[in-house]
Formats: sequence, C-alpha cells, structure tokens
Amino acid sequence: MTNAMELYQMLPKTNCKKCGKTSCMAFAVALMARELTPENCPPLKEESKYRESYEKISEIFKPSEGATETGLIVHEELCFGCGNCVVACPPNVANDPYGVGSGNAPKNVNKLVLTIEDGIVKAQNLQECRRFGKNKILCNGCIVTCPVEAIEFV
Amino acid sequence: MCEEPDMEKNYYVCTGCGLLCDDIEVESEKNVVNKVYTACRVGVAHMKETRGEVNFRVDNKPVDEATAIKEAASILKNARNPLIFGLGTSTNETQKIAIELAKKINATLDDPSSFCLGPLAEALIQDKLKTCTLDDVRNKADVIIYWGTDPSDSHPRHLSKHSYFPRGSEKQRGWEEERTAVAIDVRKSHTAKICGNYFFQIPPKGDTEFIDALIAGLSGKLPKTSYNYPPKKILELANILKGAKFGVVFVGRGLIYSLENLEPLFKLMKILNEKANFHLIPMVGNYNTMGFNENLFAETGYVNSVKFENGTVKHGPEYSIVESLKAKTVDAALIIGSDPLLILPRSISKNMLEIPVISVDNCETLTSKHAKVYINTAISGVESGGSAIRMDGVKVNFEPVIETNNPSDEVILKKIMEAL
Amino acid sequence: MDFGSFLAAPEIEVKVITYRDIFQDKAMLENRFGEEYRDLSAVIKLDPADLKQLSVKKGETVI
Repeated sequence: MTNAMELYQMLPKTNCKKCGKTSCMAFAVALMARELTPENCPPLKEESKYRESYEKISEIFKPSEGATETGLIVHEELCFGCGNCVVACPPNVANDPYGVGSGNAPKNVNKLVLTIEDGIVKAQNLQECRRFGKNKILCNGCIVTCPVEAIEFV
Repeated sequence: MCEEPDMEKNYYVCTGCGLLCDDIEVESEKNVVNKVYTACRVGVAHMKETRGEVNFRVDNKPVDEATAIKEAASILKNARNPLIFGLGTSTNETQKIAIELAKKINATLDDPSSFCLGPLAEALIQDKLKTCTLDDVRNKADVIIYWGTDPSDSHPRHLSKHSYFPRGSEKQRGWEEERTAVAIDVRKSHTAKICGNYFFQIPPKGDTEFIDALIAGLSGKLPKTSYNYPPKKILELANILKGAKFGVVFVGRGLIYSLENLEPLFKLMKILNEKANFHLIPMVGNYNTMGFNENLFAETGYVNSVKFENGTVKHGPEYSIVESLKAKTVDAALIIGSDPLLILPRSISKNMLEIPVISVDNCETLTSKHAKVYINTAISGVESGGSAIRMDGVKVNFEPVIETNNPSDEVILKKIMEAL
Repeated sequence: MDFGSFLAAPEIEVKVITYRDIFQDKAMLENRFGEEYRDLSAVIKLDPADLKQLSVKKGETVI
C-alpha cells in the first residue's frame, strides 16, 4: 500500500486548488483517506502528460474485491482465530465491555464489529467501525494486535 | 436468574489446549459439529475432528470391542514389566483409573511431562514457587513475561482471553495503558512481534547466563553475558520488573529445555519476589497434563516416572518412558492418547516396535499403526465429558458436545481392568 | 587437520531451531498423515541465496 508522499510525487504539484484543497499535498492526504478520488483532480484526469500517473493512482484506489467500505480486508488463510483484534477493537469494547471487552465470548454478537466464527475473524456492522463515517479516525487497534497482519486496511 | 429475551447460552469447554476455554458456543446436529463460535483455529479443528467408524483392531485386522479388550488384558497380564504412558488428553476420572490399573499390574507409569514441564509442575504442586490463576492475571497483572514460549501459536487465545489484551477488574484500561508484555526467546516468534520493543532475543542455551545477568541488574550490579547482550537493555528490563505490582512469568519448554535444572529459575523468582511481586504459570500444552501430575502426586507423592511394585512405589528418571525404552526394561506398553513413535527421537522410539503395544486413542497415529491392539475412543471434551485441571491449577468440568458411539477411554480402561 | 579443503562443495554449519506453528497443529488434528501437515512440518527452508552458494541444484539430495 502506498503513502501520501508517494502519491504526491505522481501529482501535478502545481497547487492549482481545482480539487478544492489548498495544495497537492493536501489532495494526496485526502486521497489516502478516501475522501476524494483521482477524478477530483481535473489536470490529472484530463491532461495527457499526467495520463500514466492518473492510471497508476486509479489502479491503487480501485475498489478491491472483498474490501468493504472502510477498506477492511481479512486474509482468512492467515488468521489464527486468536481474538486479539476482537478484544482490542474500540467499538467492540464499548458495546460489550463484560463480554469481549473482558476477553470472554460475546454477550450479544449482533452489536460487534469483529467476531470469531469457525476459527476465523469476521467483520460486520462496519458502520460502527471508527474508520468509517463523518468523524472517522485512523484507528489501528485490529491491525497492530494481529500477530500475522491478517487484517489489513487497503 | 433474570429473564433474557434471547435464548440462554449454552457454553461448552474446548479441550484443544491447556487453556480450557469455557465460553465456546457450538451449533451441532445429531452427531456432527457444524459451527464453532469464539474458539481459535486449533479449537475448531479439535471440535470438528472428522471421525471414522468405531474401530477396533488386533494384528491389523478389524475385530469387535470384546476381542480387543481381551487381547489387551492378556498382553498386560503376561507382561513382566508393562508400561502405561500418555493420559495428557484424558479426564481426571480416566487418569485415576489408569493409576489403579498400574498398581494392579505392577506397571511403570509415566506421561509426557517427564520430558516437558514435569519438574516445573512438581515445584508448583509442592508450593516451591508462587503462582496464581489465569483469572488473577486478567484482573491484576501489569507485567507479563513470555519466556521460551509462543502462546500466539500454542495457546492462541492466551493473550486475548487472559494475559494481555482484556480488561479486568483492576485493569480496566487493559493493554494499551496498564499492561506491559515482554517476550524472551531465541527467535522472533509471533508473540515476540506483539511485544514489539520488549522482545529480548538471546542465543540458544543462553538463558542461564541471561537469568544471572538479570539478577545482577535487579541488584544494581552490571549485567554481563558471554554473548555480550547489551547491558543497557537488561537494566531496562530489570527496571520494568522492579516496578511490577503483580507480575506473571509464563514459562514454556523453550526455557526448560535450555536449563540444566531449575535452580536458576528458583533464584530468579526469589529475587523478583524480594524486589516486586511475581508469579509463575507453566505453559502446559495438553489439556490435562496438569491433572495427571496432580492426581499422581496425590496418590504417590510424585508427578511422573513411577513404578508400582506389590504395594510400593518407586520413582526416578529410570522409570520415565525415555529411559525405560532406552534400557529396554519394559516388555509391553499401553499408550493412552499419545503418540510416542511420533514425538520421541527414533533412536528411542524404535525400541517400542520390539514389544507388544496397545494403542488407545481417538484417531490413527504413528503408534496405532504399529500397535498390536488398537482401540479407537471418543474425543474427550467433545464426545465424552469429565473434569480436567487447567494449566493454572483450576479445575474445569465439561460435558460432551455431541453424542457418538465411540466409547470413552475411561470406559475402555475400566473394561480392561475387569478383564484382567 | 583441515578436512574442509578436501571437500568438493563447501560445508556450512546450520543451527536448526524447531517450533510448532498453529497451522501445523491444525493440520495434525485434521489429518496427521496428510499432505498439509507434511508440507508444514517435514520441510527445512533455507534462503535461496544460501542454497546457491552451496551449489545445490533443484531436486538434488543433500546429506
């Protein structure tokens, strides 16, 4: 996965502000947060000298198969079913403090974002995930606690 | 009991490893497990272990249960010095019957702890080391050390159910703010990865020196090792340990195999308890090895490697399976829930091919394929119930999840004893 | 005595650290005699650069 700096290198770097941001760097950050798309940059989309960059950036942000709206992907073949992500997930803890928040089985599975089914983690109710919605933050509770990087945000 | 709008939850116990997780929900139909919730990969594989038909074999030919039992009893009766081995995956009730059986036929009795964590279990049962329960760890632990063990692989829910991530009654903000996890190992295991900067990598066999250096660091002296481990890092670790209000050390085979004896570990725990407050829990692999150690200790005063002889009990390394096979002192073997041909070095296990073996197990193993008598039994915890002792000494009772026609090893041992 | 100088191919000292992986446990429970367990446990993996240095070709037997 790329980062804002790498994206910036592929942009016009003219700070023309046509996308609504004050600089190309700010646009790169907005792209990373999936706030804007490559189409929001008219020069990138329309001018032939940026064709290659436009195609590259579009490729990166193409909606990937299996990813949900928050960009969460579970590599099922890597998952241990250890439950670290389930216990670390902030909305999980908020909605079920004495269940998964304390390391136990869920008291009510329907309120959770991450649960373990048949030894593999399952994501659901993604509207509760902190990375989604208007006040989203780059929460990484489930990523840093996984021993094998089976959960990823693209 | 308050009224709950949804169905009352029926939790089962998973007997896949030494954690004995008691919060597993299962969807099953007749005698097949369809879906398992909350259990880890190993637990799910354990509960869904596909079963063949009920199976009894003598000399590789299928027979009925009565014939197999008769043949097994005859082998044991005619043996001068039979060996009974295994029982790490059997319930307390089965283990007690096995001890009675061993007494009756003057057998050598041993379990895998004789080449695993036996010495540690012995020290804990004899109260030579301070310990606590896994629930105490969840509720109180602020410094957790994983030494020579990789729970992320061997006991997957260890960190999420008990030791690091969950919130507890005195640790309501959990891992982020109130707990420190330290890993000491020879390689960067999955658990070491989670411990991040608190991973201390030492060379194989380097544990004794590391312990001495750590003791020096705890006493304010300069920590030195022959492999030049950075003293600053050891002092950093010593400071973390000194500040622990409720520390826990989880010891695995990685540490036990590296030490000549337990003296360095005793020394370390003593100093840790002078400077702070530390407990020790062994990372027992099978779900009831601890139970065997405790049951045998209650009966004989020893945790493994015993020989019964006309009412007396002898104990010593010569009665362990490794030494017994090496010296060829046993002339028949009853193996219960274990696979010595797989787990022991070939130079030792090949001696088992020279004596008649009775294999009592819930699946085909390397041992069962070479056994004179093979009796297929139920998977305890899934198809049969009973009780077991968790790795922290807590007793857990469990019911079967599904009902099948496979007899439990408890029933089989009783029948063998009757047939003698 | 420097026997190393008489060997056709270079000799290296290999320290093998064995460990149990969760997927090995799972494969063993599912089918102890199956391919998955064998592939996960009966194999020693070396870096390709090391194998090249040892002049080992694909399919060759090593002692």
